[in-house]
This record gives sequence, structure tokens and C-alpha cells, in this order.
Amino acid sequence: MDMSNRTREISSVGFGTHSDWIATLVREWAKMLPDQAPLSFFVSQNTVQSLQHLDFHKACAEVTRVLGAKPYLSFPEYQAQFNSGAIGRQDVDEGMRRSGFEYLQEDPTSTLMGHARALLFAETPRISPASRDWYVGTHLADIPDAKHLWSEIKRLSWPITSDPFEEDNSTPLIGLFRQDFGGLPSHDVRRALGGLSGMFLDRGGASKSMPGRDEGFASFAFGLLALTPQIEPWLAAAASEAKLLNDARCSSADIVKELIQWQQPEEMYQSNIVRRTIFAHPGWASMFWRLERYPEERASVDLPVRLMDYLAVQLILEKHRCLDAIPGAFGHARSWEKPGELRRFMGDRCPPLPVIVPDGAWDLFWALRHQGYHAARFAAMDPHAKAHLVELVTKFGRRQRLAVWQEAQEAAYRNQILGAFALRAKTTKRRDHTPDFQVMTCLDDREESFRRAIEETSPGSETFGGPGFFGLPIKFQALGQADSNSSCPLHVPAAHKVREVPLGASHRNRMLRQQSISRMMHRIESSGREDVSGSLLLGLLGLLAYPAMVLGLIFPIFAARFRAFVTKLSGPPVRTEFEFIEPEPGATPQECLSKGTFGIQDQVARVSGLLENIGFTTHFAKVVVFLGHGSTSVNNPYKSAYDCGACAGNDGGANAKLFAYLGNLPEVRMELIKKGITIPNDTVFVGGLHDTCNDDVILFEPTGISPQASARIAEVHKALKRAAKANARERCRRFHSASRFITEAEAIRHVQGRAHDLSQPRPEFGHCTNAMAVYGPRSLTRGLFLDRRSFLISYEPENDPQGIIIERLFSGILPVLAGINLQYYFSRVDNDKLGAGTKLPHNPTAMVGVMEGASGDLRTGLPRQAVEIHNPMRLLVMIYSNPEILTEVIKRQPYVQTMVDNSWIRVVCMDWQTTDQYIWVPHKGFENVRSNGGHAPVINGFKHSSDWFLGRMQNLNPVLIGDHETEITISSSAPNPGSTRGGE
Amino acid sequence: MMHPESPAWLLQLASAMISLAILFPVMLALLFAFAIGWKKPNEEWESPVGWMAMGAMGISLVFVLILSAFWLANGRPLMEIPLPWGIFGTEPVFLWDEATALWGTVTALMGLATIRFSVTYLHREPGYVRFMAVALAFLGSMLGAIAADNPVQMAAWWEIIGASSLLLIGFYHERQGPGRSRCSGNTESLTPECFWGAV
Repeated sequence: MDMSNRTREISSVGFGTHSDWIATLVREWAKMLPDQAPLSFFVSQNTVQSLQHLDFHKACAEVTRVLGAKPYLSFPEYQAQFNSGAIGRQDVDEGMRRSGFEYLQEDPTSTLMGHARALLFAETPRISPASRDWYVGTHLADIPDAKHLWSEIKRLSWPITSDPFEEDNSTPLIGLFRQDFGGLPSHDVRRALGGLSGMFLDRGGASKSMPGRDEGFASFAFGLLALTPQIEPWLAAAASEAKLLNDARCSSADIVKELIQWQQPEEMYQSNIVRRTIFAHPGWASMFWRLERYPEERASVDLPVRLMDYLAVQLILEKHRCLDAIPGAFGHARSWEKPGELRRFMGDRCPPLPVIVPDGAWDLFWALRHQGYHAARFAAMDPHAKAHLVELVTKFGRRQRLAVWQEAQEAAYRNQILGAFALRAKTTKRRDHTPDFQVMTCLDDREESFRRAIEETSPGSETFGGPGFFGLPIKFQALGQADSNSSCPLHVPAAHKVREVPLGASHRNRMLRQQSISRMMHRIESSGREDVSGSLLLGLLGLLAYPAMVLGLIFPIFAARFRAFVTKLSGPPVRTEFEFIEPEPGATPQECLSKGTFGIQDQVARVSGLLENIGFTTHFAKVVVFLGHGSTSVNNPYKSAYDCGACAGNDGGANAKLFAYLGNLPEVRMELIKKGITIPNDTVFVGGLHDTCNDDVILFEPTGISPQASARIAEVHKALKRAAKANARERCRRFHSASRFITEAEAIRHVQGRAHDLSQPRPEFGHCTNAMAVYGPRSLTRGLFLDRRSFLISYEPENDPQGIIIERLFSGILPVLAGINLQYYFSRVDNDKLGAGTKLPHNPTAMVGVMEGASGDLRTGLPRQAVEIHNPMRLLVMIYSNPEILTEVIKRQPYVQTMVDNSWIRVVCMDWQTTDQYIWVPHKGFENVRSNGGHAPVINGFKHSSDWFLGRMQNLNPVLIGDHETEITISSSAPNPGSTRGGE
Repeated sequence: MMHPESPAWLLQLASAMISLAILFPVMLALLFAFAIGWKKPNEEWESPVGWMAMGAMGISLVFVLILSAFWLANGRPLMEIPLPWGIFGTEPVFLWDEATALWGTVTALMGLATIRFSVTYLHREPGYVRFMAVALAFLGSMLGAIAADNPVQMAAWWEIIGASSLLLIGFYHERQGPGRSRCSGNTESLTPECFWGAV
């Protein structure tokens, strides 16, 4: 069908009113696309969150079916953990039970159980189906017997798992061009589509934005294709048809519908054609889908971004690339006007792939060999027994077996953690004195080691963990910035507008001076991207930049210090304060929300809310530090992913500073007294920022404080810097390039070097190895080495008899934690399809994402370098509360209930009064852990964390650090799950 | 000749330096290539391979700087440095002039910076040793082409540059894009080469 002719028909018959089905279809499949924001808003979210309504393992099956991705680690990875002792036999049994295969365990001596175990433990070589006969005939020691056994197994009546004819009919035409039919045309489409999409969505990457974007992508792309002379014939043909379509004002939905029908007129296959078309280039498709739903993330809110437009352009390009490839592939040139004609032609000439013996046969072959079977023994087996074997392999297939291994791996970790907490609960001591100083950090897993280091280096201190936006859902306009950014979790709407302004006239003048320098630098940078000025600048400044770059490569710390020195020349930093919009008298809450007001009542509510949530309402020290976190790195498009997820991918310094500012306001403190929170007059709240990459700590000293208070803050700052060095040392154990027995001074230099190293693809490991979250008082986790794998949320169950606070914390924080955990999980298990692949060839594109090389699809998810040492397991959430209260909380919160009942997270409740542990069984409720098996042993007796981690790269077991009055003796412990992979 | 009154030992020293500046990277590239063929590299290879590659480029840079300094100190003469053995041409000589001093220094410095960058950037990347081998072959032959005295010698170095640059373009050979770019690069570079070859 010639689309241009068709367009005329469309116009004449009023086509375009029956396209709803295609819109519905596109919407339904689009939900499966990764929901990743543009780079500057990058925060972790569950890669397959559209499947959260399904049980986790069922969702994994869908991941394979729809996306063709692997939802678990590979057999060798799990088996290596088993062989190292990280996963025990009892864990595998628990995995079988949790995956619904307990019936196989009912009679452990039965043959079926033996075969099932052999299927799990047999080391099966990964050989392609076509090469298996060859492998058996050449690689095994007992070739004749093995060949015989293999042919016997192949002869069994295996169920047909896929129909190649059905498969071909559900494939878009362009997908039928395999390598042996004249190359891969889809690559050309991807190249053209990537260029057009990048130009349309550009958020500032280009010095000038393209004209004609106001009418949507289809109009823009068609216009551009028609205007630009095309060298490649298929692009020229697409351009001429695009021009006609553009002139005819044909809607995108109509174009998509027509082209889908042209490809495949059979309705039963069209849904799959649409799905595969969307998922052909999932990166760009997902970005269009994301920006269609979130206008604030577009280059301009008014830019019309629609996935349907994108699909229309993709289908037109695919059509003409297919038509162009036909003569080359089949030597047959003619027009293909009728719907389905081309598919029939290609179907006749492309024989479907041959039916192959299923993987189950290969697995059974190795399982039998694992048990010592030989051909004669197998041949002598009863036919019914053989049929049972086929049934077993079919029902207990690869996916099911991998699910068992995943459950086993998680059970192994869970048992260790439960053992550690059972032990720690016995030695918990409550605080009854005022500490020397207090620090509240983000609940981030990276702060776990930092908090431990603070308490180890300053035993008189106390730490808290809470959301990194400090309960302040703000839209923040930083000093000198024209725009404001949300600084709160993505699922929390920003309620208040806050602006940072210079403190007094002198600071205002200093800011203006610095702004003029910044503007000049910005102009130079912008000019560098122009044709003429760019060439001139390259010649003039390039020579200066070259030695600086070489210097920065070889001596990154020196170069960073030199840059800091140059920055200092422009004067000391500008001191700032905050500006709020006061609510008008009588304004309704809706009016206040729309204006973003932040009056005294709101301020008090926010401050008291956070302090109550984390159980910090008494015993205030003289210095209380609120530390946000951020991450310094260079040459890193994923920087936002390393910053604070609770601050929408920004660093948390602004929120921390604002919280401290509010907490120091006398009028706020007066109101807090009415709420039962009395902050002593000599207590100073200080905001700060912890850099999780270079382990620097910055404190923003409040204005107008006494010299004594200032001196105390300086002392605390020193203590925090000391702790940061210890923290850097612990982090360095994972880095190959750091010494195994590094000192603190060397460690801090090492991490600073990484932060400023242009060639470093792993400035830090982010949330790598995250595995659990703890809601409970610090007394429960203080002195417990959790290996930077746990999110720590301070919570005092004593203050919460009704479960109101835990409900707030649970429902507010859990989406963020689960999002992080599941993105790391899926990016790790199949980094190519569910992650971004290797980071090295990534290029930031249009400021929306990264793509490999100069053209191609956007890559979503996390790169390999960010997840390579991650041990993928679902989040284990440990809550120090009461199981009855928690059950009610879970039932009241639909999101939480979905997540726990569908096993996307595992919840364990430790009764705060009895210290009994209960695990949530989906759709049933809490079950006492004792019925689930014993605990792993826990080591005790280390004075410092470094006594345990120094010299070790792999994941480490939880141990007790410091002096604990316990009766536990030191014993050896099993390796930690996931310990087969060490550091970077 | 280098200089009419240059002593023989100086000529020999200069000859050794220019030869080693070029041959260190090229020979190391060959060594890595043989090592890959002998055994599949693993992560333990990374550190020694990285250090050796940086060392080779570092030595090249030092020798190029020494020769350039010597050339400057002697009033920037046109130096013809004889080679200890015949290679790539009828006259076994390397030429040292303004262009050689400038581009030799730039190439050696860029080469060292590139290798230094790659040592960290390619950490744990499959193909680490292969990349180092090809990059060293490329950089060494660049130096060879810069110091070449005659068209035959230059063409020989140029072919190695072409081959290694195609291998660098197609480093991620398992992906479609680099594979295609390598093929088109091959076509684009071969066409003029065939023409010049015929001439």
C-alpha cells in the first residue's frame, strides 16, 4: 500500500474516527516500558513497576515473555554461592517451599526429589541448541554412552513450547529481515529515529533548538525529512510520503493503525506487532511515554510529546526501509500496496526457524549424568517413569528452578540477619543521658557505615536516620538560579516554594560579581558549540585546555585543588538565608498549596513531624547536625543517581540547611514547646552535606550564634571529618585499585582521587549491595556491622502505640526503598536488556538520556559498572514494632499491601516488647520465624569495624562491633550470600 | 646525516632512542597479541598490562622529548638519524625536523594520556588487553609515520595506523553500530589507498 495514496483516501472518506483501539493498545503496552526520567531527574524506580500487581515470580515470567529478559541470575552464579557455602542446603529447602515445590520434599527419599535436586545442582554447559549434538559427540569423556543417552532423551515426547509460524506472524516486518537476508535494516531505522528524537526532545544539549517542534513529533519529523535532501533512497521515499501525510494533516493514530494493518491484516496478531514495535527501540519509546505523562520534565512544558507520534514516524521509516531491503534480500522489486501482501511474500521466502528440542531435554541429560545415570540404565527405565521425568522437567523448568535459587539466596541472607538482630536485641541498652552531639543523616544505605564510623570515633555521639529531604517537600530555587527544582521524593508533591537569597547587601554584591563571572564562563561554553566561534575558541583555548586535561588525568586531586584555588580567587562563598511566601490571612489550604506558601504553622508542623517520626523529641545535645548527602563526580551522566533519591536526584544540602534554619527560629521553637518538644536555648541546629563519593563533610554554620557555640560546631566538624576518613577506609575495601590494608589517610586521598578522576567509571558504588531496611531505634542497630547494605530509619515504637508514625514512615519511604532495590535487582540480573549495559560507550544525548556511540537507542536502567558487585535480592524490611499493629498498617495501605502480598519485598517484624521475630507470609499474615528454621551464627568480639572488614573484598556477614555483654562465643561463620563477587 | 661533526656514539644513541620510542609500543602490541592468542586474558592481566603499556608510552615520550631538546639545542638542524637495522625502505633513516619534534611530542603525550585514561576507564571491561595491544600499535606506528624519511616507509606505517584504527573503531564488535562503522571505515580508507598504490 502506498501511504500517500492512502492518505488521499483517508481525507476523502473522513478516516480517523475509529482509532481508539490502537490508542488503547499502545497505552496498555506502553505501561511495560521502563519509567525512567531524563538524566537530571534520574532517581531509581522499579524497572518493571507496571507488573507490581502480580506476584513477583509471575511478574518475572512476564518479564521473560514480554521483554525477552532474564529475571534471575544464572545457574552458575547461584551454584557458585552454594559451592562456597553462602547458600546452604536448608536454604535451598526453604527456597523450594517458598516457590511452591514443597510437594517434592514430602518424601525426600523419592526418586523424583532426587531428580529435582539434580536439576538444581547439575552444572549444565551453556551450549546453543544447534550445537548440542556436536558438543555431546566431541567434548565428553564417554562419548558413545553420552551420545546414546542424549538420543534417548531427545526421543521422549517433549511438549512443544513455541510455534515458529505463530512467532513469525507476530513479528513486525522489519524483524523478519535476519542477518542472512541482506543485513539488519532495523539498525538503520534506529539511527534515523534516534537523530530525529534527540533533536525533538532536546533539553538544552544543542546551542539552538530546532524550529517546528510546536506541532508534535510526527509533524516535526515529517517536515524535517521532507526539507532535508536525503542521500539514502529509503529515507528519500519516507520523506516524500511524510510530506504528503504532513500536508494531509493525518493524525498519528490513523497512521499507526494503517501501517500496522499494512504489515499484518490478521487482527489476532496485531497486538503483538504493536508490542514489538514499541519495544524495538524501548529507550526512545519510554522517554516519549514518560514525557507525555510528565510535562514538567520536557524541554518546555508546552512541547507536545506523544508516544503515538513517535510510533507513526517509526512505522513509516520501517516501512520504507523494508521496501528498500526487499530487492537486495530477495531480488524482487515491485510495489506492495495491499495489506499483508509483503508479509505473505516474505513468509514464502523466509522459512520459519526449525522446531528444536526444548532446553528441558538438555537439562535432563545433565541431571541424569549428575546422578551417575548411563544410557543402559536410562533405557531400562519404565516408560511411565520417563513420562514423569518429562513432566517434572516441564513443571520444574529453568525459570522455576531459578526462582528456587533466588528464594534460597534470600533465605540465607535473611537467616543471618535475623540471627544478628536476635542477638543484638538481647544487648540493647536504652539511652538515658544527653550525648555530646547528635547527627541525623539520610536513611541511605551508604550512610550506614558513616553513622557507625561516627559512633566508633566519637562514642559520646548519637545518630539518627530519616528521609533525606528532612520532611520538607519543597520547590527550591538555589542562589542565582533562574528556575526552581523539586527537592522531595517523586511521589510526594512539592508543597512549599523556598528561595535562597544573599544575606545582606555585601553578600548580594559578592553574588552579583560571581554571577557575572559565571555568565561569562557560560557564554564561552555556549560559543564553543557554535560553528565559527567554536572553531576559533578551539584554536585559542584548546591549547590551554590540553595540558590542563592531561594534568587532571594524571594528578586528579592536584587538579581539583587547583580548580578550587582558582574558584577561591573570586572571593569567599556568599552567605545566604531563605525566603518564603507567607500565606495571606484567610487563605484556604488549596490556595496556599497552589502558591507554595510556607507560614509559621507549616514550618512548625514540618519540624515537629520529622522529629516525632524519628523519635527525637528529648535529650537534645548542644550541637545537632542535620546532614544531607550528595555525590561529587566528573564525566558521569548518572550523577543524579548517586545524589539523594529523596530529594528528586538533587543533593540534600539545601533541605538540611533549611531544616536547621527552621529549627533555630525562636518562633518555631516556641510553638514546638506547645507540642511537647522543648529544645534548649543553647542547642544549635546545623545543616550540612556529606559527600558520599569523596567523603567530605561541609557544615553550614548558622548566623548570629555565640563564639562558644561556634567553637563547639568546629569540634563537631572535626569529629565528622575523622569519621569520614574511617568511612572512606571501609569503602576502599571494595576498590581493586586501593590497597587491601589501606590507612585512613590513604583512603581519603583515594576516594578524593576517584571523585575527580575523568577516567573513573566507578566514582562510587551508589546503592550497590543494598539488601535490607530497618525501621527501629538506633539502640537496635548501634554496634551492628551491616556492611553498607541496610537503609536505616529511626523509629521509636514506644512513642507510637497506635501505629500512626510507622504507617507514615512505611507508606512514605517504602516506595523509594523498593524502587532503588528493584532497579538494582533488575539492572543486575539482565544488564543488557533491563539495565544500560556497559557505561563506556555511553554518550549523553539531548540531555534526556544516554545512548551507545553516536546513534542508537537510549539506554535505560543502571550501567554495568554500577551494579557489577550487586547481589540481587528483594528488600528485606525489618520493623521493630508490634505484629498486630503492623498487620493493621499493612492492610490500611494499598501500596504496601500489594508489595508485601506479591512478595516484591519481604517484611519481618520484631516485637519490640518480646523481641520475637515474625515474617510476613503473603495473603496470610505474620508467622513466627522459629517455625521457619534456625539462625546462622553471628560473630562477636570486634573492637572496631576495621578489624572485620580490613583485607576483605566480598560481602561480609553482620557482626557485633564494640563491647557487648553477651554470652555468645566467637565462631566461624558461613560466607555471606553473594560473596562470590568481591569489589570493583 | 645527523650533523657533519657529530660523534659516532651520539649518532648511535639518537638512533637507539628513536627506534625504541617507536618500537617499544609496537613490540609490546605484538607481545600482547601473542599473549591473547596463547591464553584467554583474565582480570589478573589488567594491572601488569596497564603498567607495561603506560611504561612503553612513557619511555616513548621521554625519548621524544630528549631528541627534541637535543635538536633544539643544536640550532634545529634537519637531522637524519640512521637506524641500526634496515626497516621499511631503501634508506634506513628517520628524519627529525620541526614537524617531527612538534607532532612527535604531541603524539607521545596524547598517547600516554590516552593509555593512562584507558587503564582506569576500561577496568574490568572484556577486551582490555586487546584494546591495549591495538592502541599501542596505533600510537607506535603514528610515531613511525611522523619520523618516516621516505614515502615507502611512511606508507608502511600508514597501513598499520589504518588497520589498528579500524580495530579500535570496531572494539565493541558484538554490537551492530561499531561493526558497521568498521566496515564503512575500511571501505573509505581502502579506496584512496588503492588509488595511491596504483600510482
